[in-house]
Amino acid sequence: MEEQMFITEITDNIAFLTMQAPQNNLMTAEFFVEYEKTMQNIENLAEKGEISGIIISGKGRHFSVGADVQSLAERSMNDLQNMKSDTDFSDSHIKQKHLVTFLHDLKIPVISAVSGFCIGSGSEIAINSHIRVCDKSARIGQPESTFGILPGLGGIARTAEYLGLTTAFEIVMSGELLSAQQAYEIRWADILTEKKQALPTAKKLMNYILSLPEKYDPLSTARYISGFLKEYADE
Amino acid sequence: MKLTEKNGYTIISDFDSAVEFADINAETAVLVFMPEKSFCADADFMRNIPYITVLASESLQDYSPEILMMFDVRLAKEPYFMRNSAEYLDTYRKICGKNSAYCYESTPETDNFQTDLIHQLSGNFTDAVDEYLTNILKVKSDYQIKAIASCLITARKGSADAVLDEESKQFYRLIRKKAEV
Repeated sequence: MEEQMFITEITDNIAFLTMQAPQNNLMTAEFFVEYEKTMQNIENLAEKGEISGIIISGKGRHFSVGADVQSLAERSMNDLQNMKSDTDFSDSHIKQKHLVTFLHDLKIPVISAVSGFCIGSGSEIAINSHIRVCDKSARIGQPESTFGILPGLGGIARTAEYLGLTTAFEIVMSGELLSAQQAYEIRWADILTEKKQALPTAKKLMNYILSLPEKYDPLSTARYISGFLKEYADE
Repeated sequence: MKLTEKNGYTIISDFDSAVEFADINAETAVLVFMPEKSFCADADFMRNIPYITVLASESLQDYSPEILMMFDVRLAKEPYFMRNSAEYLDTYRKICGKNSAYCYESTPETDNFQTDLIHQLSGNFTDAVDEYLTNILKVKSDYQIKAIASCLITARKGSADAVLDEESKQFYRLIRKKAEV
């Protein structure tokens, strides 16, 4: 039996979504089939109030090296042939995009725990999350511009929103990868940890947020992070 | 007003007022404004200008926050200090992002708040501006730069949903262009 590429475990109402696809979580067409099924389920659970938080991570050294460029090109060319105009997007594109960007609009905390490469579509999953906890091994970026395209799954919209237009211009237009330290300095990474500590820290942060008496507000993540870091400063 | 076309961007110099900007008809998607003295600008006009706008001067401290925040990118050798009052918070958040705005908002109000508005450069300023932009724009066609710029301009003036739509539209335009090559 083939191993699943996307694992969902729900513990204490928190959904742990773990990518474990071959080649450092390369997002192939097959990966996206599982991803979309998983995220559709997650969206339903969140709507019904059956989960109170989501933590996304990659099994192994890397979060994700992003989309398989060949597979992306084939799918996109297929879509193009059926498009009657520039905005006549295929159902498959609309669905795929929704199942990445909806994370941003959820009313429950969504944390990406990042280690190793987190690039392209992988980075778009992370930037659509509310909070990014990165360990020192992380390398992040949106390199799509270096091979003639651009981030099409919310990478530009969310980078501009979280980091401002200047940083969005720099990251998206250049396509350069950033180290974990650079990601932290520009505030892409909300918390920087030692290696292999991104996921444990994300769990602690989730528990901290969910223990607060107030209802979770995605616009207040900076305040939650500040409170969390003060509380756990000595650890 | 003088326009000097470079590799991927156009320098605008020798201007008194942003009223002159209405006459700009540059081939490039990025305009770099290098003022020699203070100038007036209209926020609505700048919000809708169809280029990525860069304000560049060794020091921008003499310019008002209102002027600085009309541009998409601000380059200088020195940081910018201003009063971090609530009146600028929304615009500051749009320009510098949510996380930076939190620092702005949670620091007690002071005249001497060091903002995240400036991308600081060092060395010979004109060379540094060229190096900064060349690094960002290198190896990309004008068509591709314009496609990405279109998304960023939409982020400047539109909703998140509008940016998401523009991303998709420009993505498929670029795929089509790649197929033609």
